[in-house]
Amino acid sequence: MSTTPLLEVTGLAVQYGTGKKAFTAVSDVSFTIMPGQVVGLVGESGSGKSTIGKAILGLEKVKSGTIKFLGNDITHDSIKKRQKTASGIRVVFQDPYSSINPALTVGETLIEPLTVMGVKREVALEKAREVLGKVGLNAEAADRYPRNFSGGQRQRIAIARALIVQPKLIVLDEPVSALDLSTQAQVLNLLADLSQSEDVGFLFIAHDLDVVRFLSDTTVVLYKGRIMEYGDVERVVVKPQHPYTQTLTSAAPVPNPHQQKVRREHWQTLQIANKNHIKDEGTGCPFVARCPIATQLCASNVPELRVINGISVACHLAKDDVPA
Amino acid sequence: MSNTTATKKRKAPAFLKRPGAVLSILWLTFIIVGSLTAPLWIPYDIRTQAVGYELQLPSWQFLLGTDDLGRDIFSRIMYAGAGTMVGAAITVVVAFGIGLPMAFIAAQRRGRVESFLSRFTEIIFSLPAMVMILALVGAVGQGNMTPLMVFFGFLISPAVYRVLLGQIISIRQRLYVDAARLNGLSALRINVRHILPGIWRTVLVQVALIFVAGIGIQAGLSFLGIGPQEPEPSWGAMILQATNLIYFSPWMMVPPGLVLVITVFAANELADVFGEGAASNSGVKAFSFKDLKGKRRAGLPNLETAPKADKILELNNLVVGVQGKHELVSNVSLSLNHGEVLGVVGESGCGKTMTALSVIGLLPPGVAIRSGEVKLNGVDIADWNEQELNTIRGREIAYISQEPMVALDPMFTVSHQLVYPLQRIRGLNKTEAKAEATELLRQVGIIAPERVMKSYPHQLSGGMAQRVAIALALTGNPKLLIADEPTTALDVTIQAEILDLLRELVRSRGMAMVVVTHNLGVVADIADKVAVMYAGQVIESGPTAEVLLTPAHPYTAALLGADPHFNAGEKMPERLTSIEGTVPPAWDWTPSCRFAARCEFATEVCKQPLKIAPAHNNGTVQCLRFGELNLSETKKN
Repeated sequence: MSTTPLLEVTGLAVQYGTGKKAFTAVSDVSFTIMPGQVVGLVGESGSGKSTIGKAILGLEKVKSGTIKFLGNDITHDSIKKRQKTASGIRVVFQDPYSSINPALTVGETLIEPLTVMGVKREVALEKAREVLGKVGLNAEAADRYPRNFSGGQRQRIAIARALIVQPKLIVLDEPVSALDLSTQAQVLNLLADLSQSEDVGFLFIAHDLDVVRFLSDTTVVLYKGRIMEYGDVERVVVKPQHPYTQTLTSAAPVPNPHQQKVRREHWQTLQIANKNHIKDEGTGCPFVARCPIATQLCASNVPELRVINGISVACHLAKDDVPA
Repeated sequence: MSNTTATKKRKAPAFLKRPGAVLSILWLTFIIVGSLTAPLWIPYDIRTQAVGYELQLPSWQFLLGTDDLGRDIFSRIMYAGAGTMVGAAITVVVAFGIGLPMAFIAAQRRGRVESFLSRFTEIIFSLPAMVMILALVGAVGQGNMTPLMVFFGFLISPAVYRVLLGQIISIRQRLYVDAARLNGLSALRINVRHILPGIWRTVLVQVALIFVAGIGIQAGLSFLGIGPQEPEPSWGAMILQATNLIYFSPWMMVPPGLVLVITVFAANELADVFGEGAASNSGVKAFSFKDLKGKRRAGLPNLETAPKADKILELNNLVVGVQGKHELVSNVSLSLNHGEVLGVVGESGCGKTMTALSVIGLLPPGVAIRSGEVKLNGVDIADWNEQELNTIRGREIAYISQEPMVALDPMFTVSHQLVYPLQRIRGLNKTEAKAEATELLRQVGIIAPERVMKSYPHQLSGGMAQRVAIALALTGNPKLLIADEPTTALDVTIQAEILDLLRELVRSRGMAMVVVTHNLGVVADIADKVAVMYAGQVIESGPTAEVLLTPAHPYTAALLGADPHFNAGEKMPERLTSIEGTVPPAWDWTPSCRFAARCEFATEVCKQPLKIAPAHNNGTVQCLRFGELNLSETKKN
């Protein structure tokens, strides 16, 4: 059975500025999201993960490559045109404070996308109450203003705004980064439930590999706008093949002091190995200057994605495990 | 009392508390309403000449006296006001009618459209307004004010454009505008629904200011004799008339002059009031090394020479509160040995930052220590004043924050910022201080310190800036470093580097450190001891490994279960532990357990007043059911 992918990104490149000041934020990024699938896009600041999200939403101009939604090329569609071609794509932003207009009631905010589509106000408000229940809020919340809600509740409202049009794909741009641990867990659980119960795919953009691991099926690890590693999230996080992903996992502290000691030591070995680093000449692997195992080859040639141990890895030196 | 009823319903606008604002509103209402209705009520016709009553001083018959033709000044002022108000209103309408749409269009299109409109407005702005208007007078003739005021509105519209453009652009960058665009709202609806509400205060300020300008230009034109012609009165013409007679009747100058001045003042005052609401005040007091004056109270123990106490820091029953209101930190007791690292962990609103700030006396305005001890090296500094605290800040105790840029002055080079405190605190001369500053930068892991010394803060990356801020904190060789969320704003690999650095500094300098964080992993990584805070209290404390591996309080256990990092290397659970609800706000804190409402183990027992029980090795727990619960079992489920 062949299903059309929900989203198909091929060879995506995004560039900021022109001429001498041009800066390539994303280059040669390809991935797909199948219906109901959660794909995690993970990387540090400057990795281009949010830029990719914006390009998919039409908030950023694409330099080259294509973005297909349900088989239709929407790469260069304006936001206006996307009302027809990609109205099934919705977004939840990171900051639940600036993403909701403080001057409107929650109900007004929620029905906005529906009224644009010509749905009657009363019908839309009824729908808003229903969707508030879905995200774990009271129906009465519709009559209140955003200032009455905490950060976690606001993020539920933002999720409700995305859900209300029964989208096919929701771009989640760091939806839990601004939240405290206990509210973060509530929102992550909610998103996990929605990914099970609703027929919706998620593009989950985050900087935290473990958060991505909790929610996603597949993950894309980005560094300086390029894919370093791409595949099943359990494999990527638990046994990363790329030295960059290994650096990332060993850097993230865990609350178990014994495990953390092991992680810390691993991190420090990688750091020490990195001391005799190879110079980045801009012609090879973007991670070369920070890589603990880089060779001269890495400085001169850009590594292509290859399948190693079941995941795609952009590293000249990654090797398949010898089968035991 | 009326205050409390007002806040219950809806807060009264703050500007009503300003007497100037109230008077201004009253005056402007009087002038606008009074002058527009003047023909209906003024005591004398503006043409009526009372023969024999020329140049009178105020009397009951003529409230503000009479002019040289015996005409009632009060009546003439009120009558003239109408023209002035209408003229000023025309200016405002035209200025906004042109400036506002241009600002919206420029903000929406940006790029070439914006630069074209900006150049266009610059050209209009650079025209000499008075000369242009005088040229127009030649065309339309004297006494015909309407076209002049329309033209003036056009000439002043760039002011509206410029002020509002910046604001509109910044609001357009808010995410809710992006969200509305993605929802398919038309540009017009976005402007009306989402942007106008954000700029209306600025609009009001501009309205008031342009209104004033409109009044001013009319007075000026009338003074030049271009305004309404005799016998029609105008404020400017009345002043001109009084100027000619200043030696015979100085009084004549007073009424029109005063009315003009008061009206301008009143409108300006309103602009001020609106403007105050538009600009927000963070109110956070920044600590600067320039505050270090170093005078000490006689008899104050000298911490540098004091015998070394066992504990570098000891908090005993510390209570911090908002003056006249609720508590922010309740009854916190903590202790820290020399060279030890204490992690203070909790969610936002739990008082961990307030606890840390009270140690260095940097509580925000209106927040103060109510009771309890803050013992630094055995000396209680809880009641020390600013000057006294300045003798130990930077020397005994130093502070780094989440936002390193707050500690660094954007106006000065890194070198300047490090050398100054080294000279002041350590008494080094300039050359020595420079050498020491370079050495400090090397110690915080900066590879090219000479280059960084010459940089300005904005030229540094986030991680580099935090390293410089740490170097700055080290200038006085502190024995205790308070690090408030030192790695929260950083990427995870940079965070690991900074944690490595802090660990190394603690080891090599024998310095003690309090790390405030919301990240349990950071605690596991660097802290010897941990205090878990919830709703202003330390609900559990003890050695890090014991607290994190065998938590005694249900909140600690739930927090660990909510952390997706908890299962590193193991299977990820289907669901994270969910703690329903949120941390209660400080004004709702109770003497009984503050976590009970969210706790899955809460029973009737939990409504009784809390007790602090010993737990772990030298630690504490605040849970009445401690001892009955087996949390490590539930955690595995």
